[in-house]
Amino acid sequence: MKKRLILILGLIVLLPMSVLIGFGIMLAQQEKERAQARYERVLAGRLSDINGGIVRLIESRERELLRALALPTFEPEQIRSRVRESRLLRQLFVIAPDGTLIHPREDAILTGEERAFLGRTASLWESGESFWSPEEVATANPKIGLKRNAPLSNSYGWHTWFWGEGLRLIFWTHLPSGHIVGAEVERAAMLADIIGQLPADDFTGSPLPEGRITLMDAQNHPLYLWGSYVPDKSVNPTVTQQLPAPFSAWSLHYFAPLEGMTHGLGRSAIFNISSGLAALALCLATLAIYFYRESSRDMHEAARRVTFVNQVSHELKTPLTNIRMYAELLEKRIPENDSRTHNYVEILVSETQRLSRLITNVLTFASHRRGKLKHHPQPARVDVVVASVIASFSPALESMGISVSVEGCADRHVLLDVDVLEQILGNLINNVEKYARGATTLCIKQHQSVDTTTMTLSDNGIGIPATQRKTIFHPFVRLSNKLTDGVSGTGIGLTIARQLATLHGGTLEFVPTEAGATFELTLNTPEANA
Amino acid sequence: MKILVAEDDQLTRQGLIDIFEDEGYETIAAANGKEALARFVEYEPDVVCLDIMMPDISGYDVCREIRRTHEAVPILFISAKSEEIDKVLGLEMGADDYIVKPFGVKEVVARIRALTRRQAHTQKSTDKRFTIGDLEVIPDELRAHRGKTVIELSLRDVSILRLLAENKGKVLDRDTLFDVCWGLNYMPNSRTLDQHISQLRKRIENDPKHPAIITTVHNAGYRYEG
Repeated sequence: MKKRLILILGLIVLLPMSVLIGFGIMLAQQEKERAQARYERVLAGRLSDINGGIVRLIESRERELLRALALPTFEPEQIRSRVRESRLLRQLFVIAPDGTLIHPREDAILTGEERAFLGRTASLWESGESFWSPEEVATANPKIGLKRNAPLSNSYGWHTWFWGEGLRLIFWTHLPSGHIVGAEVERAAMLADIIGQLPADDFTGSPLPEGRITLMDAQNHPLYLWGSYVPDKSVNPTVTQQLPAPFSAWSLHYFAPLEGMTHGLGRSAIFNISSGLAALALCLATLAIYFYRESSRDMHEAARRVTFVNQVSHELKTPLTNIRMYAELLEKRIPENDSRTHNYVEILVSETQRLSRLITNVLTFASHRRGKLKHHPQPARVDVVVASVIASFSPALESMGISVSVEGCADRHVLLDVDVLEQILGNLINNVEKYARGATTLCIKQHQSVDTTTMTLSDNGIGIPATQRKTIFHPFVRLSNKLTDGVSGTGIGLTIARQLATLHGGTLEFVPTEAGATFELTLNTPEANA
Repeated sequence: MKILVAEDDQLTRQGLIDIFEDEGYETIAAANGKEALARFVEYEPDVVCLDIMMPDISGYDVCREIRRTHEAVPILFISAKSEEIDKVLGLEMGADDYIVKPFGVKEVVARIRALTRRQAHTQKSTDKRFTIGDLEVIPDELRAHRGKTVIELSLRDVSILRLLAENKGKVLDRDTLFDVCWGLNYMPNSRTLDQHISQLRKRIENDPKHPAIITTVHNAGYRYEG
């Protein structure tokens, strides 16, 4: 019982706890994902801010370049002077409206830098497509080439290509004269300007956790990095931001530590969920412990009551033994002709036997409740046991005017628990004695087949009301007051009789009859010699 | 034949002593386990009757102690403990039988006679059979046979029948019968003897109202005519 209770209480606690833990883990996971998404959005916002600064920087540099490219003349020396004056310019070039490169011309006397420039940009001169704005491209006739279309004045743009050290930049503009003036922009100067737009070297004062921001080139080589956090090489960046044109090949990577994902964002939510679940679990466990203790107390109380009843029953046995023993000893010493005294002593003995049956019933009932009821068949004869039980009841039944008759034969040597049969018959005959008001006969019919003994006990008393026949085998059920007026009883006699019959592999049933009460008892009684 | 009765309840102990003495046993009383062991060593009884729940030393322990030195002496447990485990434990300890309280006198007598027979059988007693009238008395079995009919006898019954058979034709007065069959320490009571003879006649005589084996000699005693 105790094990089953622990199991049930364990299930009551563990099942909801498991569901709650699973639910909590799911919630925590979702919250973590949400926190991560929020975190990434914050990081992306940070990179977007940086990107905005770079856009503004490029616009500023474009204006500066436009001013530098506004050449009054296209004299080589003037052009060279302009290059020297600007930190952004590495080399200038001029394309005539007809598409002819007029500076630096291959057939002119060029500086080493100019020749190198021609070498780097040789592929560009084969097509003027790179120096047309998107609007101009849209109106161009692809069949006749771009050169034959009039360029839109004051349009400008960027052209990028990769050569040598990496990304090369050309900024160009169309002058009102139809010339295209372009410049190879000093890459290092632009890079320095961009780096200048990036945050300080550390994250001091930043709401973000310590991380690392890396500026990567097209080949995924770091151009610049800051932040003390060193991510593992296999770790992908938390967020990535591509730089605006013309630096679209470059990108900003933000690496953030994993533990930073929930820092200040998801951790509190997870803590709240965990705290709630822990509190709920604590409540459940407390409830389970409370119920367990209450139940244990009830069980202990019941066990104490059973123990008390057992002890009282045992304590009753000693005085009962003495009363019976001395009554029987006294009987032997009474003169034979003193029939009245003999009768008194017989009553004494009979009553001690009744009390003995009562105590045995209580103890048997207690044993059954504790699951300790057992039977031990030994070779015996049913008819001998029946005769013995009838003999013990004879004085009482005779005084009530009830005659007992035994029919049939049950003289086989069978395996039988004599105590069990005595107790069953004792309880049944005791009921006749107590409840069969007006009965004059008790007929016991016995029959034996191969493995079964069947007995019916019928009296011609007032019988049992039809409405109460179903409950007579229930414990502590006694018939109506009318029937039991003036009759004591515990209400466990038939219950025990049926339990014992079941224990002996048989049954005990009430058989409806027109008059009186009839019970049919079957017992499993295999042959003793088999 | 001596029987040790170890029982802490004084009334039960005295009742058992009366039952056994009525049967013809010599009794030794003990009120607790310690006393039981001391009496056993002192008197070496032929049968031991033990209560289980006794002060100082339990009946189980007394049984175990006795079995360490005496394997054959019959031991009968008489206890209020009726659980199966109690019986099994008692028998495991070496007891020969177990009676649950409350018991009837006839049950105790039947069990003790059975143990006495077993004891006589194992000791190969030389108590010879004898005949008295049409009865063949077998002292070791505490039984008499009349043809196929078996009659249960007590030690005292055997003793009375043997004394009558050995003194065939002679009148045995009450004192002689008491001294031989009840013992010298017994305080005679004329009704005790008469009632015992009356009960015995009911079992051994073909017609108890006209006895043929034990006849009454008025104002003298009893006689077996032969």
